[in-house]
Amino acid sequence: MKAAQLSAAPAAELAARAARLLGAAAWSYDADSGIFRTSGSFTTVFGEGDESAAVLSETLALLPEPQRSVLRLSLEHCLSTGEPFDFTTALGGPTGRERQVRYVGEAVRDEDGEVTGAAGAVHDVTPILAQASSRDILEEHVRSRLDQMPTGMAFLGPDWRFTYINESAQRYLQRPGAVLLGGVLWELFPEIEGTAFGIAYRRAMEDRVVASVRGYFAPIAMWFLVTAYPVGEGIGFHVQDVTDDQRNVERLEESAGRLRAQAALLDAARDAMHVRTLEGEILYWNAGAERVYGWAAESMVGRTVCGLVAADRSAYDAAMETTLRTGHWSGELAMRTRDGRTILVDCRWQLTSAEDGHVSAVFAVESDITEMRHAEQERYRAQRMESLGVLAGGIAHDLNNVLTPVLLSAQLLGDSVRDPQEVELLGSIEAGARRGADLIRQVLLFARGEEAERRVLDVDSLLAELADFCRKTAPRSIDVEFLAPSRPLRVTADRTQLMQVLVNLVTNAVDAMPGGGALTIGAAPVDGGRGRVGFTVEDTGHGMDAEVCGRIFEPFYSTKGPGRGTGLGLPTSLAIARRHDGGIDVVSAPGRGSRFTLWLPAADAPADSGEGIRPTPQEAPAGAGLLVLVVDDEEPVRDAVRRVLETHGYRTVEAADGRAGLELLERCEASGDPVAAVVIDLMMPVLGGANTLDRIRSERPELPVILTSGFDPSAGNESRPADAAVRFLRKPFAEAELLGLLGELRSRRRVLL
Amino acid sequence: MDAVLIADDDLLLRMVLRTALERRGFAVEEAADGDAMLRLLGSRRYSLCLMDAGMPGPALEDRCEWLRTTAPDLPVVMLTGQADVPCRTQCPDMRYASKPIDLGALDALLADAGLIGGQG
Repeated sequence: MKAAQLSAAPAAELAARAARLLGAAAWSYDADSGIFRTSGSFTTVFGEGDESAAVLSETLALLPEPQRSVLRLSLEHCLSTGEPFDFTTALGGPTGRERQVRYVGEAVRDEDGEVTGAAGAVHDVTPILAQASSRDILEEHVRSRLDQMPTGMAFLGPDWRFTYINESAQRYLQRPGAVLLGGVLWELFPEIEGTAFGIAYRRAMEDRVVASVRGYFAPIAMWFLVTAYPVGEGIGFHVQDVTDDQRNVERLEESAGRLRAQAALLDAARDAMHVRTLEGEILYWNAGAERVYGWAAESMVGRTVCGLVAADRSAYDAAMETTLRTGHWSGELAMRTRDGRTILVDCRWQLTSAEDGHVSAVFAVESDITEMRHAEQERYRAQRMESLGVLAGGIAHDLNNVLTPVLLSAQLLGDSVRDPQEVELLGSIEAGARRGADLIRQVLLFARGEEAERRVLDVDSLLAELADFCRKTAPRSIDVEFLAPSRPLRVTADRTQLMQVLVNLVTNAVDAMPGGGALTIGAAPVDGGRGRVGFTVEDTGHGMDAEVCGRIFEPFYSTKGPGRGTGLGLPTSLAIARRHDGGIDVVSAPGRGSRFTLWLPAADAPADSGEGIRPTPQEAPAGAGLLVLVVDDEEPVRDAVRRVLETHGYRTVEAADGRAGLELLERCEASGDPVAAVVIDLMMPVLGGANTLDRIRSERPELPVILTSGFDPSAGNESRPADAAVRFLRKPFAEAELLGLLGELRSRRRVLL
Repeated sequence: MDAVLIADDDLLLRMVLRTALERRGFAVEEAADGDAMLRLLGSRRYSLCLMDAGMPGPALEDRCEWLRTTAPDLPVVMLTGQADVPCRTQCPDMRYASKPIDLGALDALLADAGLIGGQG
């Protein structure tokens, strides 16, 4: 290795370039000549200057201490012993920066193996050292980070010995690193074998897979999440203390359970409950909401609540506005259900805030109160009816008192007034008073319902009366036409009540034609003739839409405006029709008039004679609990008479012969419950009817007696002086005859005796 | 001459009833309340008493009881302004007539009592 070789051609140039680029230089020292040569780039390492060849001492003199001494000593040692050297030393470089320079050298020998010099390289290792230093720092950082990490970390070699274990792991395993490092896992912790953790370690080690396990480590009463994974030949594992997490999980599960229970409760609630965003998007929808609105939670969550809102969107928006402003709102809203029904919903809305206090949603509790409101209205209606009944009863007496003088005066004046115009005026007064009385009766009728006095009535005569009414009341602008039935028709009805219904229908028809029109009134068999009779009242007035049609029979519903209709006419009419086993149908359309049909069951019997003659019906005689003695030897007759009398409010006592009858009569009187009337069969054993009557008369001249007989009663009565308190009844007798006679005798007793 | 007692607190009603009855030849006396009515009934004999069911004075039951015991033979017609007043159930043995009374009804009552020709 001579200097000539260094300057040799291309290969030497390449070497020089490499040396320069690496920050290295070659050197040689020839002991004989004492010359220390350096390659060209040597100077770039040590400072200015080209390749040099100089006496060693001169070269060394260029070097700063301690480099100079170290190099001299190393060279001397190498020359004397032949051993190589390698040292790194600090070099204050020409730039003044602290640098690290590495010298390596070896002995140069001749053919005989004698050391003749030394050669080597010098290398600026400052960057390399800096790198190493930063690696050390990094390692230190990583180590300290690992140690400070709450996660325990450890590495095990293939022989299960701990090669690294951080402080957290030491803490969890409750052994110091010094004990653990190098120790075998299964020997240190035999209790792990077979546990979930042990199995995870073995899987990572043997199957070379990542294995995670969450478990309870009983020895230290903690929950760990352990992840074991293959690292190199061994494994590593993380240990996380999840004891707190586990408690959280348990708490979560507990609260989830509570939530489930609450959700079940919420679902069991009758109310619809939902949570929606401020924009109306449904977040929660309970079973009650499904029941109320028909929409299942699956189909509602994520949709907007507005899909529910019925026609009145503005009411909904106003409610929402109030909710946002005041935090809550309660009230009623009309909502639409899935099947298109509109329901009335009682709403309680509440703004709810997330945990951060940010207002985020509306919690809504809503109940369907449609039914309740309906029932409420029914109740109110019933209460109104009751109040009306009380009111009507209260005013009826006074009004009838007021009307009586009017009616009577008009009639009394009628006796003396002859001027036809004045007669007509009196007639108007009388008619007015009667209409007033009818009105009172109508209110009473509706408010309380009144016993109908049913008779068989000729439809013709009813229509005639109605025609009379129309002539008197209908304005000239209305043409009235009557369609008489093609054949005689009869109905069973209370004449006054029936007329009231017809007059009401006619009045409504007239009112519906303020500008005039045609009024058609008729009666005809319906259902093919037998069975029912229909009275039709048809107008060409303004008509009604379906909604109005559906409500006209509601009490107090009136289209006539305040002060005009009572709202009772049609409801009362319908009530009367129904009490007569009939009904009222209506056909109408806006602008196309209305046709009302009152239908009643047809009557077969001929019309009752005298109907309509008596302006004030007489009260039918009733038993009023009076005691009647029935004396007849035939038990079936006694039974029949008893049934009739008891049905009509009498009480009865019975005897099978005259003697027993008289005894009974006395017993009753003695007991303070005297007999009010006696029914005696003339033909009886033991004491005949006539003898019995004589005995009765001797003590009780005024006691009403009815003698019954299958024979002509007058035959046995000729010799008898006229007895005002005795009536004869021929068997078989009708119920009405018996009751009529009894009533007659009773009123006679009070009136005449 | 048959005497009829009109017991009613309504002056107008008494006036017209008096007119109607006097025209039919009856002597008429009036009582404006229950006390006056009972006083008059005790003072002389009447052929008929028309009595307002709801006038002031003793309660209806008491009046009826008085009539039953003191004047059992006196024909009494209870005038009532209501179709189904409770008094009908309180005193069911009395005769009733519903207001408003017109001449036809009045004549029927008189005939019923045998005071004018007709039924009875």
